[in-house]
Amino acid sequence: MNLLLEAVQEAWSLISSGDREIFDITFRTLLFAGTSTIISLIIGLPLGIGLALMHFPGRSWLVSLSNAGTGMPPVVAGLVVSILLWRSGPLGSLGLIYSPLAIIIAQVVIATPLIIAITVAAVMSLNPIIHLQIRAMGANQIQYIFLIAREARLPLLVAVMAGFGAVVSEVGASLMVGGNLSGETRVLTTAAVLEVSKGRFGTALAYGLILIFFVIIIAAILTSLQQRSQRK
Amino acid sequence: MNALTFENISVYRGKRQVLSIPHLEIAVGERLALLGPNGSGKSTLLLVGALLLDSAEGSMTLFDQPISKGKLKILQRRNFATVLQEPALLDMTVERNIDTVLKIHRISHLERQNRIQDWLSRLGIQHLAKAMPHQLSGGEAQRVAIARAFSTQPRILFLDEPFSSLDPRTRAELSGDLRGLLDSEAVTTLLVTHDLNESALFSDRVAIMDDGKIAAIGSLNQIDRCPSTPAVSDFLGHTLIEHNEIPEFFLKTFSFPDSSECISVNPEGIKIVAGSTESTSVNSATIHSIQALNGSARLILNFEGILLVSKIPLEDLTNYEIGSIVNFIIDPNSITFFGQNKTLAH
Repeated sequence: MNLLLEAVQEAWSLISSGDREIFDITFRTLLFAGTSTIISLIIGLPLGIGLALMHFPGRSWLVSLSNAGTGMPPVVAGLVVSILLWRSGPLGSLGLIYSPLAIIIAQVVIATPLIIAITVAAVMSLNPIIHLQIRAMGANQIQYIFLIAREARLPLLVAVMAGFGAVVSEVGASLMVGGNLSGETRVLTTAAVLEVSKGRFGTALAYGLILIFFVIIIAAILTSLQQRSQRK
Repeated sequence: MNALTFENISVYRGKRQVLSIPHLEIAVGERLALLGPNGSGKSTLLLVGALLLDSAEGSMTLFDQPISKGKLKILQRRNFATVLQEPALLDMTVERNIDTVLKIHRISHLERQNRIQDWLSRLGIQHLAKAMPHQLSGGEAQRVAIARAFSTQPRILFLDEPFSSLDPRTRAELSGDLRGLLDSEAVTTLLVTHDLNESALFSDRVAIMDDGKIAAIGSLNQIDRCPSTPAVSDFLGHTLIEHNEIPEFFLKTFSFPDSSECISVNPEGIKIVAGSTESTSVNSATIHSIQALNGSARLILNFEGILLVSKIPLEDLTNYEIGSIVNFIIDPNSITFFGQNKTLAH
């Protein structure tokens, strides 16, 4: 019990004193997670909307694949990216292993299926009459996709939050492809793992508390969005 | 000049043919109502006409021009406006709903503002301009949908049961207002409805559909007087009697074509009379049930095991009781004889 109390006191002291390293790691975590979420959205939103709206052979197989991807363990994503970027691997010549870009690539692999799956579900859950009405209004393909995405904007925001939440809290992939290099690829989760291995529970808990803070913020936004959609 | 023509149009759902229209013309400025039971192909024909559903076979023209493909087809679609059973408003304010469709039609900003104000005012919903769809009642939402449709100044208006989800009072108010707008705008209209009164209010001609085909087309009065098939008779609420069930009285009183397989009796032709049954033309029947439908009342009479329908004024409804006996006469002109699903004589 004493150990826990001491850890909490130390964590609070580090956070409240504005510890430089904690600030750097937090900033890097948000930068990596934010960048990978944006890239995942750029890839996942059009793919998800396309999968929901278009009918072609193999569509349901692709939807199943993206649904399966939502349950992919980050460690497996990290392993696959590691093999690809490893010095002797297919993309080894790019020299990306243990770099920030490697972490972002791994996080994109984790978040994109999640964003595709939620986007497909969001667009398909719209009232079919809305699809018909937008076409009846004379919308061209681009206007149609834009208006459909606008109609599904609340669940699409859930996709953004879910994607960000998944990558900001994962540890396995970042550790594997980033190497947890101080000042370069160390993020909150990998730093927490390192500190625990050294027995510095206070510092680890400080990282944990910051992560929990982000998780609570994301949950609060999601709850607010859900309540807004329920009021309609 | 025709606004729309359909030639040999076929639509399939799976392997089943759900629409077969050998030929149909809708003249510029005409109002045509599509009537028929559920699954008869009314909405499918409307969707094909509005270029929202491709037919497997056949061709169409729009103002005597063939229908294009791809982007040009979308431009042709902008000649139309469609009001569906549900208002299908986008999740934005009322005025933005109208603004959005006008932007799609590439209307200038100033003109958009004028049209939004004009149509909100004409539908009596200016005070709802900033309201969101979830804040509107069903009637208000359908008014917005109608304002949105008219704001684009469509050359053809498609109405797919626009009042079916409204309560009777709202329905009456809105249908009256819509009739006024159709008169003032003189827009070609294709209306899908189940309601005979609505079709009479909104259309110059009606087409009664059955099993994906147009079973009868013309004025409602004309079709009601001389239905073309048993299905049309049935939809119009006439009594259908198979040949082997025709009461003795009918056989003695009316001359039947030899090949007639069934007859229909128009409810307008069965008159309740006060006279006695001594006259050969007067018969008596038991009142089986009483119905109020489309602003009039109907007595369902049990005559020798056959249920005949007699239309009576709504105000006379209280004069009758279920189980009581009434005398009636049949106007011979109200009987239609069918053989092999076609009219033989009238």
